[in-house]
Amino acid sequence: MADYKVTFYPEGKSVEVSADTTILRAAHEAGIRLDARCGGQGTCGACRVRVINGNVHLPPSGKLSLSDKKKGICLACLALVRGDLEVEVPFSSRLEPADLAGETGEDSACGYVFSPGPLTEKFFLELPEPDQHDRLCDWERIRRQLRSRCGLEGEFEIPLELLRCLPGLLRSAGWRVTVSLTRAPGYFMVTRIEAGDTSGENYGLCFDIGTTTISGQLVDLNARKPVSGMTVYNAQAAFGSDVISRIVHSQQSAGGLEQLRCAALEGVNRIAADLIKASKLAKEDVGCVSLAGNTIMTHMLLGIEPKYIRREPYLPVVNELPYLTAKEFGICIAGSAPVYALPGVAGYAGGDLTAGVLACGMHRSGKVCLLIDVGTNGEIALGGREFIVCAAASAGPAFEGSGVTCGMRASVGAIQKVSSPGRDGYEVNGNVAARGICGSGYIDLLAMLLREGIMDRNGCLKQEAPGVRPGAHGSEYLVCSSDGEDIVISEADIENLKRAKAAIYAAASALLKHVGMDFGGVSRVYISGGFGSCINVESAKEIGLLPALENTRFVFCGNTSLSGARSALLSPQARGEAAEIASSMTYCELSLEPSYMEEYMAALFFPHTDLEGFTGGGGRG
Amino acid sequence: MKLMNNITVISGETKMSRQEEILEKWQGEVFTYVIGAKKEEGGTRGSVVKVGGEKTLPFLDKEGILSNTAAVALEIFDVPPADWPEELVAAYGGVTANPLEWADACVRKFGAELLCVRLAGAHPDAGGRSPEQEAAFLSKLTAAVNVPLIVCGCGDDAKDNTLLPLCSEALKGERCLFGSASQDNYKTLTAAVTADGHGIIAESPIDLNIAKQLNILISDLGLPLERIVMDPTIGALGYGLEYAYSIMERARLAALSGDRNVACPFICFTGQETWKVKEAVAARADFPHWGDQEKRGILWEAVTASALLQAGADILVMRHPKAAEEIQKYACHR
Repeated sequence: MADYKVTFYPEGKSVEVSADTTILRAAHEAGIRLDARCGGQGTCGACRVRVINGNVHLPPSGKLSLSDKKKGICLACLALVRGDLEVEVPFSSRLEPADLAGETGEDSACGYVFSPGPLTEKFFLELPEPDQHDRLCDWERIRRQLRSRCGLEGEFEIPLELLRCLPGLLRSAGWRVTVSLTRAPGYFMVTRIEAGDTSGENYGLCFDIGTTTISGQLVDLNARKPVSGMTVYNAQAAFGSDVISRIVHSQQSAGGLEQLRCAALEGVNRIAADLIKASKLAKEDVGCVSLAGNTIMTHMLLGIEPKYIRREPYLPVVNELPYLTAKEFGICIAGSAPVYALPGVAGYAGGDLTAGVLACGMHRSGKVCLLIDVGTNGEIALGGREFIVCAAASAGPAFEGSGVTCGMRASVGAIQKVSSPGRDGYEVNGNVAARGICGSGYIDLLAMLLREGIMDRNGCLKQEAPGVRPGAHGSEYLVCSSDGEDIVISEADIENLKRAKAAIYAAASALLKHVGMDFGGVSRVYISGGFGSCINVESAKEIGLLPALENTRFVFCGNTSLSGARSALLSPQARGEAAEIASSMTYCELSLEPSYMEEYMAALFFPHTDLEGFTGGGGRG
Repeated sequence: MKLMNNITVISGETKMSRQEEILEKWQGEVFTYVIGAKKEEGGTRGSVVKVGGEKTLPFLDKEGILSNTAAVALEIFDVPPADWPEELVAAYGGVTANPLEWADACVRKFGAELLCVRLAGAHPDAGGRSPEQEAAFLSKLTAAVNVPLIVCGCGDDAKDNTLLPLCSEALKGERCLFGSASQDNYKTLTAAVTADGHGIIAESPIDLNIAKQLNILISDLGLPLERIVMDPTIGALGYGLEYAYSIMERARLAALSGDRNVACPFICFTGQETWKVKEAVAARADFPHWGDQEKRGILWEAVTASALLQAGADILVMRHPKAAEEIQKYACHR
């Protein structure tokens, strides 16, 4: 079949593809990431592109209006290439906004300080030169020094590639070397040997592998603090916005799992490369990696078959992974550097939840605490020192800024706070023109709309209210206009957000019911998620995302998956506790819990069908 | 009517054993709504019908007061009903062709204390009578009969939103019950009945949460909960009656436990649901062993209604006068 050239603008990138390839596929090959949250089924209408020139075959789609078609707009996942093409990809159809970098490292610490001991430790050794009386071999010479001078006891292992370099290195360095060691359970693994004393510089990377976003930090292991951080969208979104549609993709297309693995790994490597470059380090300078992710993400990132998680009885292949090397994992840092993944609990409660519990320290509390992770795959943990139960709440990506008209991550240009209607009623991250709305902004916005009577408790906008106008998907409310782009929230968005908040609230309340408690018995509620700096607890209560407890009981912890992964990078105690948490946590499958659906239906209202106990303002009609 | 008599006898003679009685104490109560306004209240009705006010579950008068008996309304149409089976039409002796005569027969001949008029002729598919025509019809109807009225729209949201406000205004002061508001379309009707002093029927799809949410939405607009009557949506016997039953029972238990947002009386459109099911309308010729069709239809409507009374129905809108008569006897024992 003839090959055709498809050129994408504004980049001007070209690829050659065979006839009847979709534009989406061609874009993927050209390295242009389109938003295809439905997995390329033609149902979400997010991958709109404009064909400037050339012949395409367009199957009918209800997602396009007549005027769209006249302008040459089509859905990239449906349009088939039938000739040389020139295609314009608008900003709004792209998976990643142009400027994603620029996240500073520090997140609000709510946890506990662990005993020091990074995943990879450096030891500077001044080895005695061998002679007739000291005839130990090179490797034994190092081991002797590690035992006698550094006080390390146990077995040591060294990979073949290091042994190959060892003789030259030791002699050229004058027997003065720095050895990097990883304390694996039961033995020490040598991961790097450098000439001279480099023990003053020791770096590691930690990652949160989320369904919608991947966050990473470069950590100075000596100073025990993050140097820089960054978040990117998980490129797996091109294969579906939720984990289930991605599992479906992995089964339906040949090499699907490999595509998913590469997409996630690409994000990890991009963060690694950018952070390393920004700190003017070499990739070999990063000596260890820790990561936390939900079970399905972890499976996909490692190329392990995830499909059985989807089927009853929802079993993962592995919960606690062995230590991997960077090389086998595929991250571009020192090849023998260890990669540690926080252990998971069950198919829908992964290492990110373990990391969350670890980060907020609820496993040490004598009182009952609740951890609510407001993510695409929301997770809930309940308990304290005596017990911890957990559950998953599939909330969807709305609070992470995906699947909503003007949603975006909490980065520069995001409306992050809303207090009142009108020009002065909102606050934009970074003091630039608003580009979209992030999770915390949506929570505030919904609360404001309810308070002002612009939206009823069901989520319908009041037609005659100022700012409300007819839109493409039902009515919409105009938050602001900037640079000619209107930033709006539509009734469809509100419905999405309502479902997300209902799923999270219902999971928490069903889990409490499961152990015979209610919110009143919870002494502390930890909230984690990629909201950016903070969420307004008052607004979250007004819309029924959080229960109506006094504000002092809430603690906002930022991205606990990331901070838990960082603790694990920095402390053997944290890694030990993570293993304990994961093995002692009891997973409660809410889909088997009859009360969950009931709770969910009742929560599909602002703030809740049971108004008692909520600080619901609004709804004056 | 053997079956109905049996039920009456059983409930009338039930005696508690000599063991200690364990009685439930309820904190809440169902709101009372009065349908119809007499002259001194600004209306023209000769009588009024009080519904609701329960302080206990139906038939359990040892545990609390049941101040009002359930009301039975006969249902009439503004145009001759198109889909009624012959036997049902025949029960009214040919008057269904003329709505005013029909209304008169319901009251004088069959003793209805309450009428439910359905403005089916306004539906775009049924001729699309104009709001003005319907409002004029209602004015004539109020002159022809003096019992309280329930007024239902044609079921087409867009049409009802122009139709019902005008009808509500035409009946201003008569304290009718207007229906129906749904979760997707409640604002126009709520505004109209609030202004004209009527009550509203809040319809939910066999779902307690939505029923409660709709009550909240309506009261958020300024119509007090006391003026709402809930239509939980029911099915006839054999067609999902038990779902409706359990939803009503749960709502009532919540109301009696103190949840004001579901403490509204229930209205059940028994006739409408019964007279479309096969068991009620199939001819004897088609199912000889099912017995006489008219008797069967009456029984089907009456049994459906009796179950709903036990679930807590406050208003039953019925079609066959004979079924209505039987149920009236039963309802007295509540």
